[in-house]
Amino acid sequence: MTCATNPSVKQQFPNLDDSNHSETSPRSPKYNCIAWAAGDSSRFWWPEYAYWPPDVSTDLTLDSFIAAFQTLGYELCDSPEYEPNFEKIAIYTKSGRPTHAARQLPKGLWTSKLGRYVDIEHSIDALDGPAYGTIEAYMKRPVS
Amino acid sequence: MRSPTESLAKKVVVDIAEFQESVNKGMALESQVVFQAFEQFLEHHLEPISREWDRPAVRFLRLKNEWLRDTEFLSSIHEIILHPAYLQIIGMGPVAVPLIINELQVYPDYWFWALSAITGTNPVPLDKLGDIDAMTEAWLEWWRACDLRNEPICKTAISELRRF
Repeated sequence: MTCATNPSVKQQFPNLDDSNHSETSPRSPKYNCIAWAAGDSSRFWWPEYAYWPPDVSTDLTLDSFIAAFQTLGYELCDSPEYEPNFEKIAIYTKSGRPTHAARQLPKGLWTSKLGRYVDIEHSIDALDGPAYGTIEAYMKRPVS
Repeated sequence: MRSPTESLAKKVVVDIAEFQESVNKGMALESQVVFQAFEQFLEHHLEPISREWDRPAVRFLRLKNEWLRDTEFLSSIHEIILHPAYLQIIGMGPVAVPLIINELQVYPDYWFWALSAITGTNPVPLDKLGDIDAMTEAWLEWWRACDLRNEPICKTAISELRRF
């Protein structure tokens, strides 16, 4: 079963369909989307009750999340367009609060961990909706 | 000894699980939505919420399923632990602890905040925050060492759980 045929997923992500995503992992509660965007699949990242980079504010704000990704070498940028030799991430917010992060893949598609559910590859607008809100910031760093 | 109603309920639940497994492969989205609604209706009438007060394991399982269904796609721990079903599990108090511990042993998940809220303790070292396996092990270790497991309220919950 793909995500788009799961009724619960369909309710949370109305833009998701078979043409704009594919599942790339089994379900796992061990890491979340912020960890996955940061390249860490061993633990949950969140400002409270989980791992958070040392010396970064634990306020639940976009600025805290930007600061967390800055510890990994990311800097703010304007667009989601694929740029050779750069990795990009997108940070989603809902009602001003961060909810999700996605990471761009070398071919231009994006990869996301859906909470404690599965990893997917998806188009940039596939996850807009009631669960995550919309993308509020893009960041990029040179590919090492 | 199970009552005839309980036996029938168990059979229906098993039948539903088998049916759902068989149809998931080729079932249309609309049919799945209808089927889920039917399943919720059936669960409600087989085990009315009003009967749950003296059956904490049944209440816990219903709330856990609600919580998982609604928060599975969320990364925000704040949203995950402030879900009404999760808060109701915390509100069950010490009787929920053995049920949560049993759940942690089978399906590790973000039960740690509920355990802390109920017991007023937190055995997880700061450098293990976010590491589900390490956090789970810290709580299981705490459970093995604590006196709470021998309290009558917890023994009753464990005994009820074993009937499933």
